This record gives sequence, structure tokens and C-alpha cells, in this order.
Amino acid sequence: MKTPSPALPLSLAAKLGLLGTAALVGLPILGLGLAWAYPVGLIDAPPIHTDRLVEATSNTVMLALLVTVFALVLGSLFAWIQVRWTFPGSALLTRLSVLPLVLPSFLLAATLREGLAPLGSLGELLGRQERFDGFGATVFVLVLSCTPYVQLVVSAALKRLPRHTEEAAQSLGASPSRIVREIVLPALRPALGFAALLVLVYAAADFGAVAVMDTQVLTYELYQFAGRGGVQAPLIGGLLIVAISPLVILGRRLGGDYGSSELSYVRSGHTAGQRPALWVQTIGTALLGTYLVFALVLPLMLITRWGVLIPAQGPLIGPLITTAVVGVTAGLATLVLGGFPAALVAQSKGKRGALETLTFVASGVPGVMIGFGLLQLALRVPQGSLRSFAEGGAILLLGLALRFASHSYAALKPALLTQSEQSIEAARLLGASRWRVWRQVRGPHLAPALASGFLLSFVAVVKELPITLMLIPAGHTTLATRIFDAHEDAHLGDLGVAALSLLGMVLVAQALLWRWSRHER
Amino acid sequence: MRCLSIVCILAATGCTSKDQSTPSAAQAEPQAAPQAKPILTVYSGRSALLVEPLLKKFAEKRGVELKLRFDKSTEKLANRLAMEGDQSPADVFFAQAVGYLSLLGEKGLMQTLPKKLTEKVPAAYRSASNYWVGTSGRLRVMVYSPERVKNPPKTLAELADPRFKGRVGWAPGNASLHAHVAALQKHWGADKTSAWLKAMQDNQPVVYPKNSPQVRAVSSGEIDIGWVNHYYLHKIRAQDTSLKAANASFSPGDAGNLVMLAGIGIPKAAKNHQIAEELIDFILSDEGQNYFAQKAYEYPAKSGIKLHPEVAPLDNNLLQLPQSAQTDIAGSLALLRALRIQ
Repeated sequence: MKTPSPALPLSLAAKLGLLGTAALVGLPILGLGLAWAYPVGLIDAPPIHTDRLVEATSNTVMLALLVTVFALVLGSLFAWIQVRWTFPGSALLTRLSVLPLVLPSFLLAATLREGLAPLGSLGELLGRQERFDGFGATVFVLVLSCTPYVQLVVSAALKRLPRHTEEAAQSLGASPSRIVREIVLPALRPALGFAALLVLVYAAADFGAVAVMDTQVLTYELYQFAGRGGVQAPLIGGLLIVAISPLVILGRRLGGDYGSSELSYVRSGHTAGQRPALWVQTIGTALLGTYLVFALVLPLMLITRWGVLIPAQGPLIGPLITTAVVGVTAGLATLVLGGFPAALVAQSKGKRGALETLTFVASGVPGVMIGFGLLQLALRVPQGSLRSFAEGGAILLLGLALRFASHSYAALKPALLTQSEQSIEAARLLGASRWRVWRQVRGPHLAPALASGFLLSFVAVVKELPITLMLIPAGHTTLATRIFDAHEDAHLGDLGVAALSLLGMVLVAQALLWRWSRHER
Repeated sequence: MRCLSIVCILAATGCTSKDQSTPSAAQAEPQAAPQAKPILTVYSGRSALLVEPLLKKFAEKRGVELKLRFDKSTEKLANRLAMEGDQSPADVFFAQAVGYLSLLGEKGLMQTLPKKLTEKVPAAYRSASNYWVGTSGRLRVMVYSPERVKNPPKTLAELADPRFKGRVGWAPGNASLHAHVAALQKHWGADKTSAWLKAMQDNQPVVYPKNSPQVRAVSSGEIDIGWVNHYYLHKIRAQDTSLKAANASFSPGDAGNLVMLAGIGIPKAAKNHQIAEELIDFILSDEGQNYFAQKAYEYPAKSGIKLHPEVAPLDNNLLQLPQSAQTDIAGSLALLRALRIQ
């Protein structure tokens, strides 16, 4: 058995850097504390509504659990079809079924709410009498949003699973259900654990879909109370941290080290498998088809119709430029904030699990909490210091970098860990300068991971809503905030045009990501 | 320019605060930096799509750079201004409902406006303390589906009738509703208003963040009736002619027939007081008032401005209440919170 090598000691610079990073992570919590200690409001602060808190907490937990269960079942099934089965159309359908990743949850929610209303495009066809909003509708939307994450993680694990164990069990007469129960599921446990973590945190931290669907969960309650003064908002913020941090830690325990590199690259693509029975093919096709209608076809159809047929009122160029600038700068900031712990973990040969957990916990904190905490902090400090950062946009970048640091961490850690020290040593022995070693050895090795980390963060940043909504400097709008505002203003033309532009931007980034991903593999 | 501006701010150079904190220096040294425009920061509870074109027209004419902070909730924006206090960057506060301006004024956060500005509108459309001046009016109405509601309620009280259970929408977070509840407390008294709100709440109204989505919701069949301001229907229909909804007023003199005033004022901490006054002057000019009448389908605050042909003139059916009846926002919010509506 291999003896684990001890972690290398940290240099003073690394220790200082670590301290600085920990301080940045603590800023939103400091803001929360200040808001609690010094509540300010124009009128008397509203009292703490305990019953609302209890209801919102229970809704949050139920929402996260239900979305996780349904998305795990659906995503695992799609992954199985993608990797293990082949039937007409299965390759195309399973490739398309990861595409809803490009749609932010608030956009999906807005289109489905409109489309499935009693007189909406599909609602009228289906003869619906009820509104499409509230808790059930939110579960539906978030399951659609989260299923691709599960499919990606589980399909990657399934592809790596050695088939010979299953074949041996089959030849010894084990039934298919027993093989799945006793061989496949235990082998997939880390992947399923990691996928469950992703979905749990996504659903508990979601702001956009719950806001559009008017579902009283903690994130939406925090947003609603955020501008009223009083202690209800910081109380909810604290509850969110208490509720979500254990989820992240539990998920990491369940998933072990599995997840840290799993979302580094978008993995998709169909592999040839067995041809199942006709009834299985029919059910698989129907499920995938239905999923695609709600998660992709209807939303795309509606935003295209709104964007093309209804004239937009506001100009688009400003939000487009702001989105690109925020995406690029926050993507770079995320590389720094996520790259630092990744480098430290790599330096210690994969040890320092606590640092990795801290990175994931910081990124697991809901955006609305980060936005609220940083805003409260900025508003309570004297003019000329942090206030100018808030008005200038640096605090927005900090919030976004905190929220998505784990994206670049997950992309960079494997590349840093697999860096060949022998090649670097050999180059040095041959007299290569430090710069030349970086340019010719380290750089080319890290470039795909850096590009992937940047693009993953860019895509997440341009789709992000609550931090941007709360911290964007006066006078600026991103495409995401334009979509949200246009939905609230019922200006569907503006919504359509902004959504088409955002999707275009995300698809270009995603295409580059796939290209880098292939290059890496 | 806009792109450069955001690159500048995202680089966190603090250029924004420097510019804002030294407007007089910027004005005093035009030769040193001839291209630098003074910055005017506007906090607006009125939506961007509604007022941004007008504000930009002023900025273009006057040669100022605008920093616009919009929030659908005037309450949130007013609280932000209160939190910022004398360090607020806001030069102008544009409110969806004037009650918030009165409240800010009472807390010592607004300047008094000069008479040359306030006297541009009739006395009923300006603050007695000169903290604000009205910019335009909106009529409170029902938006409803003529196909599904054959007998719309004739009074506001009737809106809470059990026959409309689950069919009515409202926006309890919206400043117009806060102002209307304040007026109801004056007109009906606290007990009747509270009982009516409770009846509304028992009828399980559909909650919307703003008024405009209620218009869309009537058209898409989510609700049958919304409690809104009149102009949203016109604005949305101008974009989307397939909209299936109509406005209706209540019976003459009913508590539902109220004119809601939007207003503007200058925060105490404003750095660019002079330009802020110029903006208000522009908004109250014939050009500004025509914008509200023709582009926003609103009732101009100034006399002698022609209404949009689609907008019915205000008649004698209105509830006769002074504008000051709408300004007790604190009392209105206290009631809404006590009933767990907000």
C-alpha cells in the first residue's frame, strides 16, 4: 500500500495569500453581521416574521430535496441511454438534452410561465385552466435546469466504468437488476453523490426561478426583505449559510474526491451501446422528447417569437457590452480566486482537503446572500474607501469571483496536479530560465485548463442574476438583468431580444469550451 | 464612451467617486479637462423603459453624464437613500409615488425646491413643504378580461367579493398600492381599510412584483382582473397589438378612482444641485410633459398639455381627496405588514 506523502510546508507568501483569500470569503458574512447589528430603515423596521421564516425554510428544504430526487432519476436515465443504449435518434436526443444548460433558470421560468398560462402558446393547446406558478412549477423548472448536470456527471462515470465485471456477473447468471443494484450503483455512488450535491446546492441557492414563480423560499425572502431595513434579511442570510454549508460538506463526503475535476470539462457525446427492447426505446424516446419540448423547444420558440415579432423598447448595445466586460473581467478574477487554492492543493500533492472544502462552501453560498452581504458592507463604510469600490463595480467582480471560484478551481486543480515535475526539472537542468520554463513547459500544459476555467466562469457570470442585480454600478445593465426586468415590466420584445443575445454569447463560449475540452482529452 | 466608462469603473479606480465628489472643481476647471462632463446621479423608482429616454434627452441637451439607478421598488430605493444619508451619490430622486418623497423630506433627507420649479404645476400637484413636485399622474383602474368578466366590480370594495376568489391580481410591494392604501386609510378610516384588505387577502389574490405583469397576466389568462394604473395597458398594447385586456374605472366618486402622482425631488446630499434643478425644470417643460402624455400615456402635471388620444380625460368621477392623503406611507406599510400582506 502506498504511503501518503506529507504535505509540503507553505511559504510565507502562500500563507499571506491564504489569509487574504479567507478574508475576502469572510466579507459577505461581515456585511451580514453589520446589517444585523446596525439595522437601518426609513420607517420602523418590520418585525421578524417567524412563521414566514419557518415556511420559507421548509419550502427551501422541500424544493431542494424534490428537485434533487427528480433530477437524479431523470439525469441518470438520460446518461444510461447516452452511454449504454443505442436506438434510432438516441445519439441526437441525448446530445440535445444537455443543451438546456445554456438557459438560465429565470429565463426558463419566464418562458414556461408565459407558455403554459391558460391562454399561453402551449397552455391553450393543453387546455390548462391553472396558472403555471408557485411551488410545483418551480420544482418542474428546476428539475429541467438541473437534469443536464446529472446527465453529464453520471455519463462521464458510466463511460469510465469497466464493463468486464458486469459481463462476468452476467455470465455467472446474475439478473440485470442485480447487476445494477450490486455492481453499477455502488460504482456510481461517488458520481451520484457529487451530482446530488450539485443539484441540492443549485436548487437551494436558486433565485431566478423562484422569483419568477413567486415561491416563498429563503433566497427570494432575503431579496424581498433586503431593501426594507430591519433584521429579517440578515437573519435569513444567516439561515441560508447554516442550511447550505452542511449540504456542501455532506455532498463532498458523499462524492469523496470525485467531483473536483468532474465539471472541469463539459463531457457529452453518445457512445455505442446495446439496442434495448422496443417498449424501452419508446419510453426513452418519449421521456427525452418531452423533456426537450419543455426545457428547450418551447423556451426557444417563445423567445424567438417575442424577439422577432414584438418591437423592443430599450437599446441593446449597452447591456451587451456591459455583459461582455463583466463576463471577461469576472472570469479572470475567478481564475485568480480559484487558481490560488488549486495551486496550494497541488503544491501539497492533493492534500489540504479543508481548503478545497472552503472553496466549495464559499461558492455554494447563494448569490443573493453574497450580494446582500457585500452591499450592506459597502453601504456602511465611509465614502472614499469600499464605497467607491461598490460604486465602481469592483465589489461586483469580487462577489462574482467568490460565487464561481469553484469553477476555475475544479478546472485548474487536475492540470496542476498532473504537471510533470520531471519535465520542469529537466528544462531547468538544461539551463532554461524561469520564464522559458513557464512559456514552454508549464504554460502549454496549463493553457487548456486555464481556458476551460475562464470559459466555465464566463458562462456562469453572464447568466448570473442576484449578485449582478444587487451590486451592478448605477447606470449599467447586463443582459441577464435586462431579461429579468423586462419580464417584470411585461415587455416581452425586450426580453426576447436580450435572451437571444445572451444565448448567442453563451453558445459561442460553450463552443470554445468544447473545443478546448477535446483538445485536452 | 459607455464601454470606456464601465471598463474604468470595473478597474476599480474610484474614478466615479472622484468625479462625483468634486463637481465644482470639474466645473471650475473646464480648460484642464474640456471633455469631462459633470455627472448627475438619478435614483428612480420609475422603470428604465419608461423614463430613461427622457432623462437621456436631457443629458444630451445639457451635456451631462447620467448615472441612473433604477429599482422597481421605490421603498427599497428610499431606504437605500436613507442608509447612505449625507454620503449618498444621488442628485435626484424620482419616485413612483410622492409619499416616499414626503417621508424622505420629513426625515430631513430632501432639500426644499425653489418656487420657480414648484409653481410650474397646480398647487394640488406639489408638496406643501416643497420637498417634491409632481411630474405626472396615473389613474388607478382595473385591467380585466371583457371575455371572462361580464360584470366587473363597480366599486373597489366589490373587488374583494368572494366571486372573484383567486381571479384578482395585485402588487403589494408596489409604491402605487402603498399610496392607494394610504388614501383609503384617510377616506375609509383604518378599520374599514383593514377589513377590506383582509377580505382581499382571504380571496387569495395572485401576487405580482409590479403592475405591468398584471396586464400581461390578464391577457394570458393567469388572472381575470388586475388592480393597476391606467397607462400600462396602453404601453404594452403599443408593442403587442394582440393583447387581450381592457381598462375599467369604478363608479363615479368611488375610492378606487384615484389619481396617483409620480414626483421628483432633490436629496439633501446632492452634489450637483444646479443640474438637478435643471433636470426638474426640463421634466416640467412642455417637452418633458408632452413626453409623459404622448409616450407614457400619463396625465401631465402641468396644465395645457394635450393628452394622448387613447387616454380618456380626467372627469368628475374621481374620488375627491387631496394629494396629501396619499403621503402617509409609513401608516400604509405598517398596516400591510400587520396583515402580513407585504
